[in-house]
Amino acid sequence: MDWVRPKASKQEFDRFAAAWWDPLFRTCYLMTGDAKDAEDLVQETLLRVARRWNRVRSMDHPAAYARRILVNLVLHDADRRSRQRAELWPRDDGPEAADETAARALREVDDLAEFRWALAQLPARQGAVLVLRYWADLPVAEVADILGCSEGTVTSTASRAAGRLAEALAHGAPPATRTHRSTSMKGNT
Amino acid sequence: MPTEELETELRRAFARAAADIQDPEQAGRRLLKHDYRPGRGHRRLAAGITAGTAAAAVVASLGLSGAFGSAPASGGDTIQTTAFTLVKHANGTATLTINPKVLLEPGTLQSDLRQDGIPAIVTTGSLCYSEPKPPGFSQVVNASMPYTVTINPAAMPAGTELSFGNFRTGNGNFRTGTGEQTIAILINAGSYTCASTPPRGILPGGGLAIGENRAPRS
Repeated sequence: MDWVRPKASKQEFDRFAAAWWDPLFRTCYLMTGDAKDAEDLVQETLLRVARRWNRVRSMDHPAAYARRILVNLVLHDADRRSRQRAELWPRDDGPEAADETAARALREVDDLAEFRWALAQLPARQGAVLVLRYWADLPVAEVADILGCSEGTVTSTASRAAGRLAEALAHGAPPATRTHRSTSMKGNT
Repeated sequence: MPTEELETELRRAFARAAADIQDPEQAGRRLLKHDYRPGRGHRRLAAGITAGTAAAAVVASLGLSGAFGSAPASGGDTIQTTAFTLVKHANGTATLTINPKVLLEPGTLQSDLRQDGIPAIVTTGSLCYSEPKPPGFSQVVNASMPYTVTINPAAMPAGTELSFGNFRTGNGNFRTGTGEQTIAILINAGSYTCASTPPRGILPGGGLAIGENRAPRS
């Protein structure tokens, strides 16, 4: 049974997928730190969009719908891997760099693979907040809506996550193969 | 709430890290090859298909001419999305046309520009800029129509990149994607700042607002 029909709708979906796989993939790669996982999750996202395409195609911005699905899949996948802590917003985060220190650490990043590695060390929701705010450039309200939390939680989590990111950059010891990260690294949070 | 300085560095780091992702095209070929119907095995496709097989199959299965990747257009290559059209010409220049009614996805344009040999950083809601402005912008970017610019990467001074900042204007919002405005400037690749409210004097002599000749709304 073809859920994307008639033929014109199928072609519409194909164009949508062709236009949006790249930003979805990069968003997911930044959130997961793993290309294969990102590919799988984007594929699952496109599959779900395709199933609902007759409804999605009439939306003002189908890509925003796809991104929401993707973020939820990433977070669900993180839960499944027991990568996320017992609390959604753990208090025991360890040391966090102050904003000024974090900004300096980010400014001094010259190994972008190391940056992605450090990002992948964050709890999934913290990583999601940073990626959605500073890569996708979504407003705080939109990020809060996607993650099902308050705007204040988004801003405080962004600050906390940035501090942890800076700490990971300053003190982390990613393996020499970090430019091609393996799935096993994802558990080292 | 993170300080503005920290937010600037975060935007900059994310723009660089996303642009640095290696060879996403192979993943794209596999993703587009998939037959998006329910009830099919679809998990772990990434490990199951060789890049060569996927590359050969994707064009045949989707007929992507005009929608993605390379399609013949006046002796060059055309990349067309709902938000922009990028045409690479045989003489090395490229023509970029922005659709002001559709939200610009920064990663897509950035990777497509780089694919066409144009080093660029693309952001939404912010603009990356260098102070002082590197010279030569008028030799690199020319506005040929209201929403169309011609880019000559060969004229870019060594060590520079183009910076495109996409802003929502008027009543535009992310979901509807209305009222988009894109600022283009030249920056020093090794020294720039990204901000949601770039200096007012950033455009004269060193950049342009595609479609509207004014600075972005604060």
